[in-house]
Amino acid sequence: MNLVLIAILGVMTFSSRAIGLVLMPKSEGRLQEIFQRLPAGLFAALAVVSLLDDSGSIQSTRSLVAAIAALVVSPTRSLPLIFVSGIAGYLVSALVL
Amino acid sequence: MPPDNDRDALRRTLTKAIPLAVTIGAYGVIFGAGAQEPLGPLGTLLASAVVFSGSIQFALVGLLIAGASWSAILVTALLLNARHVVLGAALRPSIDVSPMRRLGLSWWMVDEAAALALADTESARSTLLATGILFYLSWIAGTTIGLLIGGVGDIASVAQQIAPVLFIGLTALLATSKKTVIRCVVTAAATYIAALGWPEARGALALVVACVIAIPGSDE
Repeated sequence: MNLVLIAILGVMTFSSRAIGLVLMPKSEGRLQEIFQRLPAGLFAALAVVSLLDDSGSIQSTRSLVAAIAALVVSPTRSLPLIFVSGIAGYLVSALVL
Repeated sequence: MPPDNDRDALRRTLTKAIPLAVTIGAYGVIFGAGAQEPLGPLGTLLASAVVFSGSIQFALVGLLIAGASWSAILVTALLLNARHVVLGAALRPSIDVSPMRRLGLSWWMVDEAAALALADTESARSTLLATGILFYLSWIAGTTIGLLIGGVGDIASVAQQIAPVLFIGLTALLATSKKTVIRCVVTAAATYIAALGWPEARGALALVVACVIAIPGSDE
């Protein structure tokens, strides 16, 4: 039963990826400008969403400290540095708090 | 042999992708260990092989454990998948190949690969392909390891708590101008406010808020 569900989810997920990349026409001008700047905002919004729990509260102080530590070094735009800083923030807060 | 420029570009891409591949592999381990109960070993491996989406797969496991109906799971998947349409549309101008090739490429379009491809406007297609394959292998390897080692205890909770770090990294990769940074900050703040009002729908709200805030003004 679950295998059928998994197969349906696989088709849905692949289709959602294909709609944007295959079926949507190549955007131009203003529309292209909007699409180009959407992903950065979308990931920023997902960062906030992943910080929250089901009641809308910050899921934990450790998570918040990890996010702040990652944000502090984010101007470097270095993924390794952002990950290391975020994880270090998490570990330090786990030890201290 | 590819030309030196291509090899240098591939090397640069993989250097950026490796930390993400390690993270994806770690989440794969957690998924592999945690999904065994509701999905069984075959279902767990099949989910990673054919869905290839951490957010959908973790939601599937959570909802199955909670006893959710198929319709609830499918609606959740629909909402979570909506962002792929946006990411695909954003990538589309940089990937000028035949529809069949774009169809093949779309298989690899996970968030992380899309972010790297969007950041690499010179060779978005090869970046999407190379990083997508790398991330797929990491995800499958992680899932297999998770299946083999079983329970991971608090690691799942830790992974959930450091998830924002991954998205902050992807945001930083794409926020190349001051205007984009400001737009990201406004989007994050607006998403937080919206999520306070409707926390159950925060995943869908993230996409709606990002779309609304991307529309006004110009980056010129």
